[in-house]
Amino acid sequence: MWQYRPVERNAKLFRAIVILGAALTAPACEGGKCPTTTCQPTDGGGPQIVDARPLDGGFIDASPNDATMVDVIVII
Amino acid sequence: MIARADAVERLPIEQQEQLAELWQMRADSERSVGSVFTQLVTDLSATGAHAEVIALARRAMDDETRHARVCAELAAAYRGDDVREASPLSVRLPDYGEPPRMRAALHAVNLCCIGETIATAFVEACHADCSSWDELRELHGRHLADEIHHARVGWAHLASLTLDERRHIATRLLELMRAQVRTWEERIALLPERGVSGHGYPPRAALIAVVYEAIRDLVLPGFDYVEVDTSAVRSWFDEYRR
Repeated sequence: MWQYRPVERNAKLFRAIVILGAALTAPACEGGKCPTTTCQPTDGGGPQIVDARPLDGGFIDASPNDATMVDVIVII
Repeated sequence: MIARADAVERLPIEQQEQLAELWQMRADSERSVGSVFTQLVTDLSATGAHAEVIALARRAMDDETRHARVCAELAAAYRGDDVREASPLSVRLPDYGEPPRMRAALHAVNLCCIGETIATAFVEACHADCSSWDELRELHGRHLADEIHHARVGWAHLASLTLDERRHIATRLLELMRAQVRTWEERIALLPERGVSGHGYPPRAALIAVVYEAIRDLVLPGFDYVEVDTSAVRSWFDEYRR
């Protein structure tokens, strides 16, 4: 018999996905919101701040021209 | 190569055929998702995304090819014949009428923050319903671990954006969420209404509940966490679920 998952399970998924995901890039220590041990200061200079400049060559769209545009794609 | 298990032999022929068809369809979907990840990797690389995000997205691109193969092998196991390669539709995500950097961000939000995050809960539900076949359960477990990494692409990228960029994403969130919910519901409507107990297919109603719970417990709090305003989506979603 199927049973719904407990809410605590989603809490674990939330940590695994959102918190650890965001910690990979967030300049979190600046705001005092450093939620994980994966975000360690390096060389005493704090976590790396993202360089958001576009790369040389600008935007390249490699999608095939005949690809069908879809609003959403799901795995099932 | 996945061998045809006793658990498959014990199913009625009609259910074996139905599951074979579903896994073959899923193989196609996985390949299509892989092509969209290829689009995302290009988007992210070209618009200066964090190296960690690009690496994760590249890994996802490769994972989806492997997933497609596993799904095709499962279809063959249920069919009792040779593996048929996936025949995916070539797809891409919309341009949204946005400049490249925002377009890349919206692709990451759509595909990873919403789609792949919901997918983790979906696969976890399937994983919990694999009591009849240990190898299937193990495959779902590995798939779940991969899905978590795929979902992280979006949250990692969002966290790296400026506050202004995240504010702009908030203005597009409602249309993305509505489309996602509609598509998940449509796809789940193709699955067996009562599920196939022990074979990773919970009943449809349970899967719809899993999707809604994932939105409530993972996706919307996720956007809150990275400071993307969800008030419009929450209003819509609360009303929609009634």
